[in-house]
Amino acid sequence: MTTAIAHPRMQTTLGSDFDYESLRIPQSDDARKLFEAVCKATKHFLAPVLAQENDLSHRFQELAKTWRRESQYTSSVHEMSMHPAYQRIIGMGPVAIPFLLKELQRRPDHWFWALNAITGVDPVPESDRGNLPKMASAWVNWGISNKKL
Amino acid sequence: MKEAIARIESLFPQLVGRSFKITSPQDNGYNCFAWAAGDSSRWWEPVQSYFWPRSRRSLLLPAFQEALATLGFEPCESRDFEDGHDKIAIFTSPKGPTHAARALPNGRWTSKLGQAEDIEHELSDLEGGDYGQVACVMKRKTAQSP
Repeated sequence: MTTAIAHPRMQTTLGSDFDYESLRIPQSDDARKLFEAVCKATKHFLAPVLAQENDLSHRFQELAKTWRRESQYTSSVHEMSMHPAYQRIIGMGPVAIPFLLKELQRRPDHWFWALNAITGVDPVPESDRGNLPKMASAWVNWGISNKKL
Repeated sequence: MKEAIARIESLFPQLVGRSFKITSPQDNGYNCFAWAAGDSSRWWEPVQSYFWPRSRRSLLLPAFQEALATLGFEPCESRDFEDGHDKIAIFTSPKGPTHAARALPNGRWTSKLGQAEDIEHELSDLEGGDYGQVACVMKRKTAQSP
């Protein structure tokens, strides 16, 4: 990783040849300030990305939990798929695909409509229609083949 | 079990105080239409990716009746159990077909409640709620399978 740090009295670039061992025990005020600046820059760089991923995952899990709880007595996939939480998952678009596929790996459930709506494909063979474990397997295999998992 | 009964009664208040019993654990792998036709291995629904007998795929009642007809069922008038016959009751609401139940030899009926449990109950005890009313009953001679 290469990071350029702007410092009131010093500019430095941290690359692979930098002696990181020297950061462990800052020997001077300048070294200490440089170390703090590096930590702060690293945090600002990493935190938004991690926060965004965590936010999407959290959003998906909350919607999935709501959908499962409120549709468990519905005998109609059509009706289940019209549930607002399910529709919001579809609305997440392609970013929801890995979450949906991981859910299918964890426990086969009626996420097929959502996956079909988002991807436009249906990898379930006719002979496996209605068989949840086999439908889930077809989608997981599709996900692996298409590098979604 | 008590928790399951309470949960079912909260969603089907017309079952409160009625004599129904839970006859299976929760299972999201089959629905009421599959269970009524005697199939607990698949989810039956006339939509993409799901199993439906070789007949018209539509969410309207005639399509459900046609699907059962391919399995040897024909309309009948009586809700009473008839020896030597399988009977299925189809419920509808303004949204269309919502539920199916199968007659049992003891005069009661068995239903799969969505993705949840199977129950044994009186047919009329599931009417009047989200499932609507029984719109038709169909029967066939027993010993025919899907």
